[in-house]
Amino acid sequence: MRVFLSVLTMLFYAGPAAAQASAPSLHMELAADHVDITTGFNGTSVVVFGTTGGPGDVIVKLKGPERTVIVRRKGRALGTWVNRDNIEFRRVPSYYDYTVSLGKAALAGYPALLREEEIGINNLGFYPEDEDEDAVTIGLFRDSLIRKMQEKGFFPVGPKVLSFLNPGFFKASFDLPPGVPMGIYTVEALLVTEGKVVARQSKTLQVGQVGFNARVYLFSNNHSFFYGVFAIMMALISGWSAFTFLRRD
Amino acid sequence: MQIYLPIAEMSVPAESLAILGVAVGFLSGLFGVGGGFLATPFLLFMGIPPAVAVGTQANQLVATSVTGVLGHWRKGNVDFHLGGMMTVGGMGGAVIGIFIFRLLQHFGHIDVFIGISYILLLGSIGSMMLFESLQAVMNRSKVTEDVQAISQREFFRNLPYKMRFTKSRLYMSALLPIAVGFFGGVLISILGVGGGFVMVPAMIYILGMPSLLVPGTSLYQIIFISAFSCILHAVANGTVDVILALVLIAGGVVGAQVGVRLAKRIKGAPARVALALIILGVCVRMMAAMFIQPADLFSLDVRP
Repeated sequence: MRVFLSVLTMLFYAGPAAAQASAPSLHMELAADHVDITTGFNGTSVVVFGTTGGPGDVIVKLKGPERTVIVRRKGRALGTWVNRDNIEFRRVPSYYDYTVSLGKAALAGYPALLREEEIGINNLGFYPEDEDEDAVTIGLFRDSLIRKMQEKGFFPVGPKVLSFLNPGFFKASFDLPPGVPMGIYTVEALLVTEGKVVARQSKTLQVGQVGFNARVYLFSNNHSFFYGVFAIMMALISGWSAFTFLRRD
Repeated sequence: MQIYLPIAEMSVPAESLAILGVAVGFLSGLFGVGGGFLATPFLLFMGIPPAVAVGTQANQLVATSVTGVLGHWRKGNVDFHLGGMMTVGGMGGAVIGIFIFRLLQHFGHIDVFIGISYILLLGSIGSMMLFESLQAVMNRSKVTEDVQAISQREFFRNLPYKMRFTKSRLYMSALLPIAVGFFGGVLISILGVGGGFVMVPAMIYILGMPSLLVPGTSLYQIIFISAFSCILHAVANGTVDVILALVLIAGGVVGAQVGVRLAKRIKGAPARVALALIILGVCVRMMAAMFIQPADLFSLDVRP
């Protein structure tokens, strides 16, 4: 009985204390929570800072809004090269990149974690719309989709290193190419020990046009008829002034 | 310097856009052609999506046609009555054109369709022009046959809705200019070209208009059809990029000034040889894109 009680008190007192000491924590913040696409926009970088409490490795992912993408393959028809086959993929992130603090080789040891958290291009959760297609064809189209996205810089290929500025203080940065798609991006940081996520935090990043560009874009989207009229007025005025002020004869 | 196009949602080098505008304006000043048939392929080569290239070209065409028509109007060389009839047909053509455009876009064949159309148009016009201008250069005096206009043939004379076009001194069915205008409207909506190089011969040989009135009247109706097509593109597809149009228009104005000054110094026939060669060059470039196996067979399309 006394033994039992002492065990109980030990549990009672030590339990929370022990948990507190080892409670893994993770905090991160974006250097800027929006990316402004201005007229002179030529790509930018997204910087993430964060702190960790407790041991573990850090993984940071940046993902753009998901969209449906049609992959088309050209084939020969009457001597010309035309689009013949296509497969539609659902939930393709318009941008994807990640960075890890541990070696990629070490990371490969936890396939379940990679799949579940969509870490690495081959673990992205997009899927073909038409499941009847044979696996080889789907694989081919899927690889082409990834390759095209890499060529455009939307799935960057360069190796990313997550740097620890101090123990427990990390910094990660991502490169957005000039033609980066607009929308709400998510940045997610994970603290991982032994292949298990012990802490996580995510933030959103707004990528959009600002200033004059944004006005043009919104005008075109919300009042497309008047936008068309405006475009014509602009053309009429410039055409008329070109004739009037710069005589051709 | 990169410039971000808000509707195309991509950033392109501003210099090359401006150079393209100047080059197209230069050609239009030098040869009196619209230049749309050169601008659209080059926008496509630059990676601008076909829908944006065509929609924006419709916008730019308004500006170039206004500049062009004012000069002809001042000289009294515009047949407003006949041009009005062509406009009626052209509006219908523009609606059909936009519909075809959307259909082709949905099935992923818009690039090929634009490609084939350009090859056919540029190939035929370019070789005809080359042939004609080479003959002129070699001083072989061409026998100008007095060809009877198609509108005066038996079948077309019997068409209903006959109308008198006093300015052009024509008496024919209104259906003919409407049909020619319709074809022009389809061209503007699908290809983003004013179609001057098709419309001018059509107005001379099919309608039998006096050639003095043809350029002005053609430009006059293009203003309305391209403006209409521009609104349709803006509403149906949201693919009119005013920033892109503005850069092209500005470049075009500069280029046209140079072109017009140069046009006074050079001889007509050799200049037409040069234009024919440019047209054929673009045609060959587009053919290469179609017939040579592309380096990458795959392409992506984002479903809107």
